[in-house]
Amino acid sequence: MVRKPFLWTASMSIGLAGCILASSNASAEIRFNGFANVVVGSTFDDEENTYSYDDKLDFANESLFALQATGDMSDGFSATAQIVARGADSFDAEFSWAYLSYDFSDNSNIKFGRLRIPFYSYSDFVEVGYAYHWVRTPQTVYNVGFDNVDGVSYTYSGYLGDFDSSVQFLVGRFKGTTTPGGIESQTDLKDVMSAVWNLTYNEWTFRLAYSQCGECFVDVPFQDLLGGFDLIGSLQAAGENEAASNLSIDGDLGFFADFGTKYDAGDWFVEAEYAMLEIEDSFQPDLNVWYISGGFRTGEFLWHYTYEENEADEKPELYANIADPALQAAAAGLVDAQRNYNSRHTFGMRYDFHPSAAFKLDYHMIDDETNPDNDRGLISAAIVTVF
Amino acid sequence: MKLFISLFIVLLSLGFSVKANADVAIVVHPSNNAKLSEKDIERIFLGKIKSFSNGKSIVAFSQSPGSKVSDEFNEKVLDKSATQLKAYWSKLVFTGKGTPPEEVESDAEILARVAEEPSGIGYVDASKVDSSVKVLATF
Repeated sequence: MVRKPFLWTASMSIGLAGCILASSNASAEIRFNGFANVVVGSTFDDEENTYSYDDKLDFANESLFALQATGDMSDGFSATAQIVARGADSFDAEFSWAYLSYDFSDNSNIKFGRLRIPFYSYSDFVEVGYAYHWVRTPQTVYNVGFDNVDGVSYTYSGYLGDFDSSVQFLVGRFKGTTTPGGIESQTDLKDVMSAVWNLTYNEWTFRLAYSQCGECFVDVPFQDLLGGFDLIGSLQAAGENEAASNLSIDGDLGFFADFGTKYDAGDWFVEAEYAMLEIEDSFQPDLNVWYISGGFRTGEFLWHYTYEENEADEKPELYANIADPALQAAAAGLVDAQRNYNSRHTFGMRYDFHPSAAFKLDYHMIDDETNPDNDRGLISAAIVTVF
Repeated sequence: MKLFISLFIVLLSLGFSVKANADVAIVVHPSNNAKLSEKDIERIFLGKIKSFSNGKSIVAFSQSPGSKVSDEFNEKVLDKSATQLKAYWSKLVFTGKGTPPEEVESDAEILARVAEEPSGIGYVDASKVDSSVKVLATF
């Protein structure tokens, strides 16, 4: 997955950081925290490309450095900015989070600004490698092409008997680039909303999340997907406006649901997550994805295994009614290419060699059922730290 | 592959740790009349309870990770290792959901800080407790 959130320029970043720093002269107390992941990976074959790695060691692809500044005003007000420099973006710094936060009470909080959209169990801290056991979260599930929205989020946390319960509601908008069909596209997702319910009971955690965008606009450069052929334009010229619109992502409803659970006994744990994603009336396939992961801890070592499944179902109804056989064949080519069934295995270990740093090693295999020639492997190692 | 397997076995055998065993006392300011269950204490030190029943904001203190008393407290009350606790807090800190207790260096410093902070709470080796604080519970 290529991370390309909407960029704020570096000068703006420095400007806002400067404002927050300057406010320390007033009454606010500023706290700095940071985290860093240095990740190295390689495939086993020069024909292969897995998560942007090839058979030459790459140190930059998934490495990142992040610094967070929180200014605590009194009475429950605070301002937080998290600036992340990712190797995939030549370590250009940008804001992942930048928000004002207000606590109505111990249980109730509202945030305004740039926020993480809570798609998955690990969404909020998906970049904090120190917080989980893999080198990267399972990419079948962690595969929606954007992370952040600009908007408002409300969280209420409380207890239901011995259960710790929290609910979060978020509304916002995303403007930037995403990569549907593997190709970078200008994206404007309007009326984004999310609702999350999180429940913890002793060793158990359950999480239910629903997100949608009321009007998804993604300007997919179809010509680049179809060797230069202007399918949408040709369909419109042939009077097939409905088919053209049904293939494009032009104000369609998109929705995403996710269920996650974890049992953590301390010495061992098992967790699983299931997600589905659908963008109505678009060439995007219907996604059903899940993983199950388990591991055990011996002292400072953690050993784990993960199994993932990816089901991307194409939508042949999109081209069924196109009259012109040549245009129908071209549309069928585009739509059917979205079918993708694969399963993946990860064997890995994490070694907490320092109170604030860990070493991780993952061996990852992809069995591509749609195209067995595309079976591939990846070895990756990481040093992750929080400070 | 052979090298890989032998590396795994060596790393695995390195991984067993030794357990500590001294009692840990939970201490508060002498004026504090709060009654806290073990679950409440766990929730306070995990940042889930933020105020005492009298409405005052809790000021919690913890001890340096790796110290004997913090290992003991983390295991008995929080049921987490030092690294699991660090991972837990990193999830909250980087999502704006919480701030870990302030870390202090020694039992003596906990006693001094709690004695002068009416909303303070901390943990010390039970044998180090003195009359400047009130013991809420011992684990």
